[in-house]
Amino acid sequence: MATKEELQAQADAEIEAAKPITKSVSGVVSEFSDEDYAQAKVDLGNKKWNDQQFGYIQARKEAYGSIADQLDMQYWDAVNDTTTWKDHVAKVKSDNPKPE
Amino acid sequence: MSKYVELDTDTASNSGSITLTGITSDYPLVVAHYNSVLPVTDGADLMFRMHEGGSDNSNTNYNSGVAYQRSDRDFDDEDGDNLGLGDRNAVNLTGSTHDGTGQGSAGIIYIHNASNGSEATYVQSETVYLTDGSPFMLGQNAGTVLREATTVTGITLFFDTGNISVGNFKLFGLKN
Repeated sequence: MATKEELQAQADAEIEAAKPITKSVSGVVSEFSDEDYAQAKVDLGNKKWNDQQFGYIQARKEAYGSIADQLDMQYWDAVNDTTTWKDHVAKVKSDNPKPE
Repeated sequence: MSKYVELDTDTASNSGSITLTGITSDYPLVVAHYNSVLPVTDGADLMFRMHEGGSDNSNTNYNSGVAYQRSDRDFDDEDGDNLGLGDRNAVNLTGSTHDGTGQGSAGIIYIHNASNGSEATYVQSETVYLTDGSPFMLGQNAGTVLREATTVTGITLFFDTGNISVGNFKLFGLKN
């Protein structure tokens, strides 16, 4: 996993590579100011950090499926003596690992 | 009789951000509308900040509560479909949006007490968009408070990564 500083460096490089970036204020187009570029770097760095550190949470929530579907899996596991739900949860976790 | 007055209008074309201005004390309620907004980068989140004078307010004083409506579920009752977002420096209008041509997001943003420098600014937003990847529809309703007694003069919209490819933006004020 990248450190926050490494991700910020990536963000800085991406914004630099994207120059010139323009903004439109009331229809008047101009290049980002130094402050705008600085804020854009901070924003992108924060996004990269949040995606890395917390993206797995949303990804797991999406992949688990609905509670109703999981209850159905558990019911049929109990009836058939299978491990479908347990295997499903384990796969979701392994597919979307928590950052170290 | 009160009536809506168009304060500003703009069209994005590979724009880093779009700022709509014109909010004054004549308009205790202001409504921003956008449609056909596409990101350059698939999966980018559409965001906004309040604009004050010549700059955007990026202080960590935005608090939001968000509820989602999803076409891939019967009810928005799953953990994660309701989010509390405290002490942010910008506000999400969408999650990860799709960049498919002709499939841009749309929304309405109601802004209350914007120009009143002695009160916080209150915002309600309603948006609809397609997600990235294999797209499905997401609706998002949110309430936001900018916990600062500042004079807001406009609103700035941008994606959290990459530019706004295309999109139409308008700002209306309800004149007393």
